[in-house]
Amino acid sequence: MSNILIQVKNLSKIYNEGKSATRAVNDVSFEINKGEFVAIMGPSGSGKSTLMQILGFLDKPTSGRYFFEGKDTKDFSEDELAQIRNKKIGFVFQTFNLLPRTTVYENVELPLLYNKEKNNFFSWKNIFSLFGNQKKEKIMMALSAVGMKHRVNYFSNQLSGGEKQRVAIARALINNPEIILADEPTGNLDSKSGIQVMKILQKLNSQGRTIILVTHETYTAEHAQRILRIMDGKIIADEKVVKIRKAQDGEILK
Amino acid sequence: MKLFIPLKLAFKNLQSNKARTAFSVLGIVIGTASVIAVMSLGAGLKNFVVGQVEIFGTDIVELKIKTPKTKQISAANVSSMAGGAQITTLTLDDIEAVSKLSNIGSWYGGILGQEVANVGEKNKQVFIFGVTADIIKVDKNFKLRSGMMFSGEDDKNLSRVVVLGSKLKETFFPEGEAVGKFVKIKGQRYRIIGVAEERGVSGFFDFDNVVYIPVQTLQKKIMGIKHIQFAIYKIIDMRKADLTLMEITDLMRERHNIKDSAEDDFAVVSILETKAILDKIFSIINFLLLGLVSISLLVSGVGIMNVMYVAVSERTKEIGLRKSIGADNADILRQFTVESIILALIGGAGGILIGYIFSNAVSYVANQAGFSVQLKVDWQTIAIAFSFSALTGVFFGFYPARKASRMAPTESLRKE
Repeated sequence: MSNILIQVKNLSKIYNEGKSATRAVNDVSFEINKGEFVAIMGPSGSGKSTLMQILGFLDKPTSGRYFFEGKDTKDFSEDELAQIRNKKIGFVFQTFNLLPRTTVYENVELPLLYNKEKNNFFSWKNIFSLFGNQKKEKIMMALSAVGMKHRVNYFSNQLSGGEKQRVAIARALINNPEIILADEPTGNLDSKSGIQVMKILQKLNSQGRTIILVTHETYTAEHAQRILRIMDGKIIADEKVVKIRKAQDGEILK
Repeated sequence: MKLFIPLKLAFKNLQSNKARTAFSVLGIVIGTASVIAVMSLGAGLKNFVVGQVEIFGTDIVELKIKTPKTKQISAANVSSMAGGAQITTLTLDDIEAVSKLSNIGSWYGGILGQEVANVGEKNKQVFIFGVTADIIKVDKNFKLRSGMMFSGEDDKNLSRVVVLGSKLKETFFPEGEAVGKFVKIKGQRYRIIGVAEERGVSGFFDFDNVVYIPVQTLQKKIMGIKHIQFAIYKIIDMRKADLTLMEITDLMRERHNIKDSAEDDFAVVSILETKAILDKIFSIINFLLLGLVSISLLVSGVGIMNVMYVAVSERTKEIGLRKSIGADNADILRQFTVESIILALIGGAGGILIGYIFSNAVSYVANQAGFSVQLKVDWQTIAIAFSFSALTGVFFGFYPARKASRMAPTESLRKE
């Protein structure tokens, strides 16, 4: 079996097609293997976020092909895409996007609610899950992976920025996805919290999970194994990181 | 998505905006309460009026005098009667002949007169109700408190006996027994053999202030006439009532030699006709009132729509997040629709409660004021009001929810 998880060919995304057309992503081709830690790096407006949204099935390319696990994604329906987002992909956003006035537990639980496998209301699995033991275990595991078990009953607005992002990572992990897509995950954090987040991402990668990190900082990008440099919608460099930075306590993320 | 999850989410979101939730619920409460109030008011009024009509029983037919060339229920007939036009053609023989028809059971007939009655020093202008003895079998509201009713024999013999209405007994004999004593009418003494039970005012006629007397005694000894005014017949089989009405009419025309129906000097009236007319009137009134009330529900529905639109635009980011972690359009649609339905149902429940309290309060006040009006809130009313409010929620919640469900995840996530 092929080790390629993501393969894009001549991918383009054009906004406002016509006279004032903006090519946010311009004829991009690359592959990402299972278990890789790739940083997509570029200045703001370079198209890196648009690219990430296409890779995460939040948006569709204007042209080009996108194969996910060997399957052409243009054949997927809206609902199928929603299920892929639910099961195969975990998003981590710059602004955390936790639900306000909601506990840490409920935030992490959220993707489980949209898991259609359990949709059969009368299935035994579903009935058991009502009692929530299995579910609770899952949630606690995800929280301990990011070191946030002790905050399980806190409300999301009672947490610090770093803690919020760690809860967001736990939420991304809950359905055991193939990829974690992190869009500037350290952008809103102080350097100490940023390091902790990077440390978690590296740990998850070392456990075999594929990670795509979008950032504009070289220093942050160097925590990955490979950097795709993007500029004006084009990939201008695809390089291996020679000296991977190891996120550890005491280090300062600039 | 499991069933209880949208419910849980909805309650959470509604809780987090308590004031806004409360105001939109209030609109529905008022709307639903007015549906309940109007429906029960309509039903209560109808029952009251129909009750007044039905007081003589539902299985009866009345034969009564009428001015020829007028309709029985017409201003012309009423004014000619009130003007003193005397129709003297209806006789005891007529009504007895009619009573021999096959579908007719017990019956009575009579005439109403007015005289001064006195006991000792006490004088009073009274209604004298000359009736055949079987009134006690036909009129279910006529019962004796003490003594006995006069008989057919009394009637035939022109006996000078009377039965007093309950108020007259109090007027003439405030203390002690009346039965066995005498009352003077037109200078002659009549023996009181019975006192009727109180029956209250009905149809604007006070039956408690009358003297019941054998009809022929009244005709011959007091009024000096040969005619009567009406007869009441019990129908044995109501399903054949229409036919019986026709038979009565035919027989009466034959006896009075009437060729043209316009010349009828009598009318045959069944309570069913009156009831049918009342039913029609009240269903029209109810329909109109419901139309008015649904405007208030409409307004509260628009309120819900407004609240939900605000909620959707406030929560674009949340919608985007939910989509990015796997919610599809149907999930979002469901979430927001359930929210508005819950708003509407909470409002509906509150409205039913308030409407119920209101109706009972009105009944209480009306009864204190002496009207026997019962405003009943039956399960049908509740079902209608409840489904009205639920529909309001679905209908007015749908568009905002659809707007939410169609948002692109990137669009909604971008918004800060």
